[in-house]
Amino acid sequence: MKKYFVKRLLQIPVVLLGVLICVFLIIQISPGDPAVKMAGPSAKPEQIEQIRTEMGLNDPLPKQFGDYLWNVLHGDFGKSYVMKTEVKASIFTAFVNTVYLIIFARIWSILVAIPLGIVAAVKQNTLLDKLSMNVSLLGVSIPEFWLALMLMLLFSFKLRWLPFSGMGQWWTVDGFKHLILPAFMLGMPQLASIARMTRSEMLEVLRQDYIRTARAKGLLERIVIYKHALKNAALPLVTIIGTQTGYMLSGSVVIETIFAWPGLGRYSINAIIGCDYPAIQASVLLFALLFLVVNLIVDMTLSLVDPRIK
Amino acid sequence: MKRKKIEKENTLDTSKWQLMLQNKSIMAGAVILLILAVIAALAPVIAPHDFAETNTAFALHGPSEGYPFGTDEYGRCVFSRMIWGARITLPYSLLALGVTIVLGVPTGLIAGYYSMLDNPIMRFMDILMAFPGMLLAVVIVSTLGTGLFNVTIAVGIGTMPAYARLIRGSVLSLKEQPFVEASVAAGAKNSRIILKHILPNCVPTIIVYSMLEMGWIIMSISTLSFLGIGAKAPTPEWGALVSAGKDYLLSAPHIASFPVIFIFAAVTGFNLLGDGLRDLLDPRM
Repeated sequence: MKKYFVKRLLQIPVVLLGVLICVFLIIQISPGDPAVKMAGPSAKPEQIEQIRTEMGLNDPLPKQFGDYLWNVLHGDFGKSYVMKTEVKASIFTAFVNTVYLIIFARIWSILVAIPLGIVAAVKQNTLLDKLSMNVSLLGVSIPEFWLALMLMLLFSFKLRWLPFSGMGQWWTVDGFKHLILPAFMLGMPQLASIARMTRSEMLEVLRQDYIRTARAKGLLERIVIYKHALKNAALPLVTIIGTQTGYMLSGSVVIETIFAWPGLGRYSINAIIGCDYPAIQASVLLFALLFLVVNLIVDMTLSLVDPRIK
Repeated sequence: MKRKKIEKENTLDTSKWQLMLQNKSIMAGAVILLILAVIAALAPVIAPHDFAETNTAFALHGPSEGYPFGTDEYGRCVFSRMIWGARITLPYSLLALGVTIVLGVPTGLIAGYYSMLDNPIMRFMDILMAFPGMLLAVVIVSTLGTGLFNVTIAVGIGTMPAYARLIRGSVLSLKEQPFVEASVAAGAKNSRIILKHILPNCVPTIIVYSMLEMGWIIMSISTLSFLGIGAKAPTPEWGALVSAGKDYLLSAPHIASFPVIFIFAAVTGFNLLGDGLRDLLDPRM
């Protein structure tokens, strides 16, 4: 087990290096001259040339890459073209904010989806079952961004229950209120698929003979469902949850922009709109890192839950 | 019940078209898409106003006379912009699909047929697929720059790995079939085998998957335009229309609310069509 963990852990830097190379090359072929951008619109040619040398743009490509790699390893992502300040300062806060949002969104969606799936399986073919499973069909065809806007309209503007943007101070109640809408919207698209998966897995497990045995032994239904059925249905669930968390990363881009949540998603979109290449590079790298870490956690959980992988 | 009905009729007598007409899902989807296509084609005729026609005296009005869905902040008719938007979102989505097919199908064919190239190609696809689709599209847009055309290319490339994987799977199983062996024995060139034997058998899979992916493609292009990195004003792309309305949510909620109807219709149409076709053409999927 430990060996597997270490092996996976070692793979991360390798993939990140690949991402870094791609990202670096991307910037090289992008239009626009970084020195001009840094210098600003009213700079003289000599200033631009000076900045170009300072930024190392006249060096051969491998050296530029080597320098960049060295800097990144030290946490230095360069200076933002737009804000002229260090990228690393703003991006790490953004990164943490996104992780915070994702964790909450994941927790709430699991807490709701799994019981929903269990109930749907236990009460198969009743109204509750059909209702919860069919709502998911709608969820696929309605754009996330629209739903988020409508919720914002309802809860923030019409009812005035919740704030419509920003993060607030996270340790306060007000901060929690800021969290509700974004976390809800982030977790919602996967609610349907997790619930469905739970339902079908539970249905399969509940048909098994050992469940019949448990019932015949006279165990309480509650124990049968949670202790025996759920544990066995858990495996594919963990995989699905893991994949879905990946989708959350792309969802975060949209949700953060809509709710002005100061996270990595919003940061990267602003960077793209502003053609801020150092910021774009850093964002892509951090997204990749986040994604790989999430996958690692999922795989580790899987190996813990599945007694066959040891 | 649908199954029983088809079994009762001798499938050899029922033509493909009849099977399709009997399938509720396919018909529903096809009808929706047909309506949307007609709307797009007849936009100049059915739209009460031009999509850029402003009328500042009438700005931010709700549904009223002459403006079925109200006006936006410049006095443009929301309804008309939605109709004209069909000419933007739908064709560009099809373009993205085209990009995906042109890139993904040959990749899958080559990876599946030439086993030496299989591993490196699929590794690369894995890396691409590792990123959630939208994120991949966003990264590609960050390279190419913003704009509707670039977003279309980005979404096309983003969908490509899944396609390649699918086609490769089909090719791998088709390779083992007797008719391929026969072709090889007869001395057919590789290119001929691939093009004349393997590819035609992949077509049903390609069609079904394309229909199902279209929903996602439309969603992605709309979302990226909504975020501001896609269509630029005054292009009435559906996602951009919603984005334009988000600053006026309280005063004029109709601007952001209505365009979703068409997005929903288009995505549902393609999903229904795809589901129905999948049940018919490729029960293995």
